[in-house]
Amino acid sequence: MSIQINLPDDKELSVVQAHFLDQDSVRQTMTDLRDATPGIAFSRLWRFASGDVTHDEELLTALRQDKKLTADFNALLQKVSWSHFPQVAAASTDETLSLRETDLCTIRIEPSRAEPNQVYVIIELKDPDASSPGSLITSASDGSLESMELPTDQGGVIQLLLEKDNALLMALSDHSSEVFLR
Amino acid sequence: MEIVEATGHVLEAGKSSELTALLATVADATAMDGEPRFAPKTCHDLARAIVCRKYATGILQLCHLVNAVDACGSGKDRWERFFFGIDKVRGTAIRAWLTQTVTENDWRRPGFELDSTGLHMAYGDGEFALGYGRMPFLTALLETVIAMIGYEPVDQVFSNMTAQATDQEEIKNAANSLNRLIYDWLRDHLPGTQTAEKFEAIVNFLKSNGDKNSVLISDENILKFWQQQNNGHADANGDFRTFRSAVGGFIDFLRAVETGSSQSSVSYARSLGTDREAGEVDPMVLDEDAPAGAWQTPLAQLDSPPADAIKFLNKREREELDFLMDCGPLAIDLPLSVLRSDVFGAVQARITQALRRKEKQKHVLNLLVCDDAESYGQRTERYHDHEQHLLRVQKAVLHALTGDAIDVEEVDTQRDPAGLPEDADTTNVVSLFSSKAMSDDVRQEGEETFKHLNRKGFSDNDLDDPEIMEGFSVGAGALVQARDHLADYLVVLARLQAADEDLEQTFSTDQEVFKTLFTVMYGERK
Repeated sequence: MSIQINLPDDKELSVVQAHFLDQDSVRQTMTDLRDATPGIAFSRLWRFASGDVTHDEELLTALRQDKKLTADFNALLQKVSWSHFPQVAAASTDETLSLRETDLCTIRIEPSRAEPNQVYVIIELKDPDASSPGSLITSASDGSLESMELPTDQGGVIQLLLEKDNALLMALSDHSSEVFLR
Repeated sequence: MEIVEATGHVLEAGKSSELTALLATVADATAMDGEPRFAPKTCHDLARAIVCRKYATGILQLCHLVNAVDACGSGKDRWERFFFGIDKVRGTAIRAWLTQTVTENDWRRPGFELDSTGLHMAYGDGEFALGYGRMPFLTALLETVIAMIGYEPVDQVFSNMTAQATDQEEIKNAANSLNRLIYDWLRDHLPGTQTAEKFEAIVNFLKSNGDKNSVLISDENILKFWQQQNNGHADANGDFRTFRSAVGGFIDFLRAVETGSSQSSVSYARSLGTDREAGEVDPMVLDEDAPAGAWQTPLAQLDSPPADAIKFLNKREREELDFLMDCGPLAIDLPLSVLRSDVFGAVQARITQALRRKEKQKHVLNLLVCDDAESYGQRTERYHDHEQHLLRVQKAVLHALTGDAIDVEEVDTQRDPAGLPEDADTTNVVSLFSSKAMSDDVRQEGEETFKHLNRKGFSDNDLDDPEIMEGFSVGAGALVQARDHLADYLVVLARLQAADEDLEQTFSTDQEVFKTLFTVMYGERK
């Protein structure tokens, strides 16, 4: 069994070649897809950024390794967040940050007088009647992410008591971290 | 004998390019329940649109869709909620989302309307319509575009567009901005294609084996071509290392000749409209990349909504029928090429996998000699099994579509065998079974088969689900096409079996051929 065809002339052959290129590229791609290693889909980033999913270790690892993914995630988080605190220019590399401010609120870090190893994180909403954020998220410059659910505000103030070595607190005090209230 | 540095070559060949990894990411994306977010057909269409650079229409449609969802959603992340908040991206889910959102919030801007076919947009300079069935592809396209160029540039284009989208011109400008960004990205990432060389390799081979104008493509020619490409021949082309890629190359070549010739273009040209029975194409779901009239594997329809809600074929059955179905009618003219590809192509896949996994040399050497290859007789038996399975599934579908719960008289009158929702798209529903003509025996057999098929979609409860019923209606046509094609192929194999050199003799000869070449390709004497 066989197929007999008349080869097209040169002009027509170039059209045939263009069709072949398309067919072959698709076939090659579909074959290569079987061995390809998939990454993190943007829909997965969105689920995490929007809070639909709260635990995704694989995603957190990928964020630490992939700067483009982190940039996408931070931009997305910024969009879905109640308030976004960008990186802050540091006066010196040793200086830790104790105050962040946006149009909507301020975040202050104050040591506890009773417990030297603890600090207060105080979030003050500029409009006490505004709906308050539900979580605090930090994105460090190395891509590592920390987050914490927030208690309900009391008269426009949300207060957290954290240990000094708390990872979220350290990120919050770091100039190069971005902070999000969602 | 030892395994040569072929391992490195295989590893290199198997390494994913950034584009491939990106497409794989979209194909691998899962819904919350772990099921694929997109239907396989959507991912296939996406790959085709990107690698063939035929995404411009899709990008324009995407921009219109973004404009519409921006006009009906709530919150700052309106378009993101639509594209990424819908878990399993199917036309029905999208329609439900849009309907619910518009019901709850109404349109924020005028000029938009939903109906049973899709989304209609009225601009100052004209109208634009988009079917629900197209939207999953556009969602997958958006995921891909963001993965390519990043979220912020895409968001910026959409923000600018939705701020002033009163005319289609503004939508076109946004689409052009995205097209430029995609083009730039692809310029650096679309693999340096050797396709032109592959094309020339096939043409030169055919010319050297035929006269100036008339050339012959046969099973023996394809095997000879693959041998020449991989045994150190001067014209060898590294892209034809697998036998399946060589067969695929000739299949693509024949299709390109068919598509490229003006004669076939005229004979296959279809008019635009919505009367599918008359061979017309619905512009709302127009697949602008598929050559008109070209063979489409029926498995693609089974992979697509609504049929993909039912497990007509399991993974193994699907894989074993994939290449045969993909080759379509050309498999009837090149039966041994398909058989060789399925049998020895599978051995070659195991060899490359073993090399990639750095498995023990002894194991690889055992593979090279092809002793474990399935014989052509055994393979034919399996094709028979698949054909019988397809028949059983057809019977079960018959029961699903004409079961007791359905008034058969009414069904025949209305040509709506599935009891579909009144607003369901029935243009692609094939009326396969005339229930009036069905004997009780056939009906009973269908019912028995349905009960014994322990697969997703084949339970009595599923028959109450309108989406499943629509899946049966649409899938039924693809099942008939698949089984007919398989039956035709089995007839050809039976003829080969009855020939002077039967299939077992052919297998023995081929076994030596493949063993020799695999050893050249993947093994070396000390």
